[in-house]
Amino acid sequence: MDATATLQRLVRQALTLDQPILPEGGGTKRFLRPITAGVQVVSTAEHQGILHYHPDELVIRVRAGTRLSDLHETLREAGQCLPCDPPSFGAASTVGGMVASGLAGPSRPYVGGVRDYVLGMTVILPSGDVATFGGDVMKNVAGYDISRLNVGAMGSLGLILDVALKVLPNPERVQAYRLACAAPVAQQQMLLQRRLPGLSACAYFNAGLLVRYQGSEQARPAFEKALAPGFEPVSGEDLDRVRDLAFDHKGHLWRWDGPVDAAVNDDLVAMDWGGALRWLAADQAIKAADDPGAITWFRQGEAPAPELGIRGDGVGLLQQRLKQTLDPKGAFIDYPALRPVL
Amino acid sequence: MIADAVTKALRQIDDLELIEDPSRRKVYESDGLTAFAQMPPLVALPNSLQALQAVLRVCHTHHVPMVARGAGTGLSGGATPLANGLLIGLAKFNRILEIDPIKMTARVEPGVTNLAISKAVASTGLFYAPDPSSQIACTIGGNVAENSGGVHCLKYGLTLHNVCALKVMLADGEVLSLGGTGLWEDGLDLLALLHGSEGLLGLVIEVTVALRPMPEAVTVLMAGFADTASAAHAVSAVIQAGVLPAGLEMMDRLAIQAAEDFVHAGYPLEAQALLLCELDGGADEIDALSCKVQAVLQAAGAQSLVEASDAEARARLWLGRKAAFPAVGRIAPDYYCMDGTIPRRHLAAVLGAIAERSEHYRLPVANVFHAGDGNLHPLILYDANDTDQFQRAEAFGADVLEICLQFGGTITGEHGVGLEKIDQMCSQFSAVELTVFHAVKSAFDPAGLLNPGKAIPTLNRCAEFGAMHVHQGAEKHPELPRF
Repeated sequence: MDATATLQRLVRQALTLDQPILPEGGGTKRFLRPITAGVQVVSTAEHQGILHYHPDELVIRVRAGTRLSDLHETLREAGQCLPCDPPSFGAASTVGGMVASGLAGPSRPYVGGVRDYVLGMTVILPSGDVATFGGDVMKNVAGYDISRLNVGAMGSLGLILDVALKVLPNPERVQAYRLACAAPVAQQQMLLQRRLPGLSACAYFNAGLLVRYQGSEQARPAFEKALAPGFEPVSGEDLDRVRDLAFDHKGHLWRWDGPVDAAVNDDLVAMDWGGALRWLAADQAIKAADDPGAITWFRQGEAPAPELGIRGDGVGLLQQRLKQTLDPKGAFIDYPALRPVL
Repeated sequence: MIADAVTKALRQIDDLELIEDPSRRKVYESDGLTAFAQMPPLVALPNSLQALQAVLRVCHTHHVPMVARGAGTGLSGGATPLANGLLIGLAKFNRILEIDPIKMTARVEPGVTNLAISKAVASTGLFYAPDPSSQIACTIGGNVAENSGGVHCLKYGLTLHNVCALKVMLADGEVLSLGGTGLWEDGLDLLALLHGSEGLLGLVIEVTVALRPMPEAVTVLMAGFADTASAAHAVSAVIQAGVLPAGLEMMDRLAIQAAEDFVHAGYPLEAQALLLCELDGGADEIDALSCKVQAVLQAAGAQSLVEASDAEARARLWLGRKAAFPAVGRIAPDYYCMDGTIPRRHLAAVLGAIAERSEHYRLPVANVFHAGDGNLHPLILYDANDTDQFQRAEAFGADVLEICLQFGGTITGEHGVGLEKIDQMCSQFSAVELTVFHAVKSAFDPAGLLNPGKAIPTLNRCAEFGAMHVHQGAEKHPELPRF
């Protein structure tokens, strides 16, 4: 259903009140973006549907409220997929939520993240006007890349109406393997295996190193042969848990982003992205003095939420200036405070 | 003109070569789009980041506009100097700072050439994937500014997809590191935004590129077709078969003939359209993959089919494609290279519309096409010494861009807007959208000192263009690129 007119009316109405708008899809990521007092939620959930899909062009354009599961199904029927492998935190997850949060799954280091597959989008701007950036084509360098700027902006720059995504053919064969080991051993193996042709995931969870092959049937034996002794074929279930953060953990869940060869962190729950993304559980995230990574808030545990702040470095200040020039009246919510305040 | 006070202040900066002599400045008067030549009043070649920063601070203080330039191979006038601005050459920043074979990254200065990166890392079994045709000369800093593509984009992506981190210097000299130390950082994605920003937001001073393992096996298929529609259909069929080629290129009859006459690549001269399809992968899978694609091409009506698996034979087939521009340059005194991208399903219709315009303007056109990703390079042949032909070529070029837009495409796939296509930006974007671009610019460069007048038109310019459009661009110059 095309809810553009309704959404535009809702945004324009909301603009008259002095309360920032929080665009929401299925509401499955409220843990990441809580609804606080004085915020007006505008839901895109009814704005659903595939606008066009041309499998032989590897492009699909969908409305933001389209369920992620519907998108996956449509692609599957044509033998294609969304390579960025986004997590799902519930059946109500939408395409708009995937794009606004920019969260990508275990295949991120090998095939790219959400922004790498966004070709264009239509948004309701903070002014209430509708604007289109990018397009339905693979290559497009006209104008600044506002589409990709909106990916992961957490709804702070406007309300996403629809997106054009690059999709890819399904791999002929997908197979996960597991090696039982401790985290430091897993990390060593991760570093050794980075170049394996067909590697599409490399994660550590539940005392096991998980790797995934995707590619042709013919090339799979070579992949298997190159793995260290002790790897066993397994279902992809544990990798799905890593993707969807289905962890049993005490304390708040924090994300760590840094170099793959940085020392394994304390409080580690899981490693993903070949070691570049790590999930830590702790009531307070304390970064070691020599840790080259960055720690940000992800999900609340049982304890009260800790104090969080926004980035105060030069990049953070520029990000805030950009938000200010693109949304001078603060019509949309700010990017959330994710940095632990110690 | 640049005020004496500014020149004096710049002369005080250590580690800075200032070019004041007109005969030496002339080298910098244009980039690859020579039609837009403008003698720069002063050229600064800093040897260190401190010197570069000092230059930016002087310009910022005195409100002097600046244009940054790498190798000057750009095709849209993005590095054309300003009559009242400083041209800053960054080609001296040409060191490879670090190669990390474990993380599979290389950290390089902006003046390092695209090909130099792949050469430097070759011994580690890695390569840098984006390969614009100017890769021998073009710099990585320029690649970031233009978000450059190449023939391997379909599988390996654009520059944007292959850069992990950047260091940029803003107009006031502030240095920022974008991209973090991992694969994600919090806040708005400035790393993505810098790509393709054409030097308007900041100067790229360091680039960390992602490298990929070289494929074990590579093979190239060449198929000739009786018409372009069949070739276009074959492209769709290959992708529909679930294959993602490393490169998938198309040339039409005129381009085939010009290339064959020039480099004798062994192209089928009777073909109306030619496809080059590069496949790569593991040694165990390449044969099966090649057989599969050959069957698809034959089913799609290929009249001739040749496979080249060894490096020499592959290079020969690619040579014709890579030399297509200079080859076309041999059959006409001048040519005008366009760069639209279209949804591929409209290829036959777009080529038909271009052929119709070709007849209308009485100018031949050769088409070279990154078929896999819909990026079309029509080369309009004309003689710049003939004013009438030049005007027809200009009008034809503008029509081609409008045709691309009509079919849901874009005015530039990989060459950038620069000065060349700034008026067509008014056709592609609404005033509301252009206002968003201006807001971005004002966050990064509130004084508007970096590369003003390029890439993003002012609303006033678009209002004027509405009237100008009928009369053609009288302000443009009668000399077009050869590249």
